[in-house]
Order: sequence, then structure tokens, then C-alpha cells
Amino acid sequence: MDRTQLLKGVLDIAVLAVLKDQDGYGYDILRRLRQAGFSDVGDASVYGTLRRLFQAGHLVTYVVPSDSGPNRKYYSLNYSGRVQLDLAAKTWSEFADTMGVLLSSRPSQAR
Amino acid sequence: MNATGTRDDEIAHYIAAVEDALSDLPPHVRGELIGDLVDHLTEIAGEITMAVPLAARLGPPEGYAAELRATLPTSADTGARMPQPITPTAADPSTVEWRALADRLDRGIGEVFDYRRATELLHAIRPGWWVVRALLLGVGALLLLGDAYSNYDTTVPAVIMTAGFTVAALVASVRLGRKTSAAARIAAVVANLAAAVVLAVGLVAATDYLLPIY
Repeated sequence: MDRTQLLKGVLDIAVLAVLKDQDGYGYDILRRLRQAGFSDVGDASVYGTLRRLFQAGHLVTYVVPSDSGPNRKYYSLNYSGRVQLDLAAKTWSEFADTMGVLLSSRPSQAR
Repeated sequence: MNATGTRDDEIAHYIAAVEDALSDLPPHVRGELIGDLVDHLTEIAGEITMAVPLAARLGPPEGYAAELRATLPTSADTGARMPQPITPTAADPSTVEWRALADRLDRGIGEVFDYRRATELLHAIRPGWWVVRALLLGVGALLLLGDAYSNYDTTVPAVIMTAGFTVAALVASVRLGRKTSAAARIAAVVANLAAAVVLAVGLVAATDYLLPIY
């Protein structure tokens, strides 16, 4: 199955989840997603998702000067983002449970 | 041309190619997508050595544009990319106007202080506030201990206790300021409120002292 298509559907939740406990800047968020196992996620996907979540009012940003390079724009979950993450986590859990049941019952159904 | 200029040119060319690949999108959608891309790519470029071309890290601009396009919400009816602002919130004109005003103020006030943005200035002076916050908490401890020491005999002078507490508060305040976790944010809010209470009590006491009583 094409992981890219699956990833597209869950990237919002994944980005919100990596910001749950710690703020992060774009490249840092990309790195955390890849460390979490989303090795094929691209920079543009993360950047576009961050823009969209920010425009939707789920994130706030602040700029931190960096000693080793250009300023970094940090993203942080606000209240709306935390509510959105809780809702998305619940939906995802229900969806995963349903798929789990469906997939585990498939062999017996096929007989 | 210096190295920074070369990288800036590379970023500008890359963004121009991305924008070109998205030229079929309405201007406001394209603007939402690439509005922050200069800062973002500058940040990315800061993470890689000058020897590595941007396209080697990010892929060709056309691919980057396609990936960006894929982050747009899809129409529930047709599956087509929506030719409208990315979110309902962004489509609300009053919200857009307020954000634009806030952005202008952020930049305008920042320029007065020779900073790009006021928020950038506020973050630059945050360590100063961490120190002030610790000193205020030290004064608060002195006030509390002063009352306690007036009632009991003790072997350690209040001023030494207060100095010790202030140094500890200073270390804790600065370390807390550098953390970004949710728990640290809550602790910082509590510390800020405590420091604000001390400041308010101090101002009230100073007002009572300075204003003549008839």
C-alpha cells in the first residue's frame, strides 16, 4: 500500500502530536517525525501542514534568534490545537480499532 | 559575491521555481502557501553546509511544489484541490484583517527598536525578565521571611536566607526560561504570576509611602 497516501491523511495529527509536549521549529519537527518512523515525510509536506494548522488557529509562533544561523520560527500548540489533537486522537483510535477488527476478521470471512 | 549572497540567490531562485509550478492556483492560495517560504528555506539552509545545494536536500522545486499543493484541503465533492483560501478561518475577512494589522504592528514596533519584529525583540530580552522575575521572587521571600523572623528566634539571618533563595530562584528562573515543554510553560506562568504579585504589592506599598496623607 502507498504509505504516502496514508501519511497525507494523518500528517495533521502527527504534527500536532510531536508539538504536544515540546515546541519546535520546521526542520526540528521534520526531524522528530522522521525519528518517530515517518522516514518518507518531506519538508514541503511538513511546512504546508504547519502553515495550514497555523491558519486554522491551532498553532502560535514565535521567533528565536539562533547563535549558529538564521532565526528560527517555533511553533507551539494553543488551546485550540490541544482540543483538535484530543479529538483527532479519539477519531484515529476508533478508526484504527475498526480497521484492526476488519483486517483480523478477513481470513475467516473469506473461507 | 559572498557565501550568504549566493545562498540567498539560490533560495530566491528555488522559490521562484516553486511559485511558477503553482501558478495555476489563485494568487491568495499561492500566497498562503509560499508566504513564509523565504524564512523557512533560510532556516533549512542554516542546517546544511554551503557545499550542499538546496535542491539536493529538498528535491527539485517542481516536486516541492507538488508536495505543497498536496497539503491543500480537498473538495469533498470532487476530490479536486479547492481554489479558495486554505481554511475557513483564513477565509474570514475580519480575521485576515486583524492578522494583517497585528503583523504590521509587529513589524512597525520592531523597526523602531531596529529589530525585524517586536516579537523578535521580546524574545531577545526574555533573559532579562528571567533575572528580574527571580529578583522579585527574592524580594517576596524577604517580605515573607521578615514577618516570620520577627516572631521567632533563629540562628540564620533573614538576609542570608533571602540571598540564598534569590540565587536559587535566579538559577531556576533562567533554566525554566530556556525550556519549552508544556510542564515548563505552566511553571513559568506560576512564576510570572508570583513575581507580578510581588511587584503589585511593592507598587502599592511605594504608593502608600510616597503619597502624602491628609
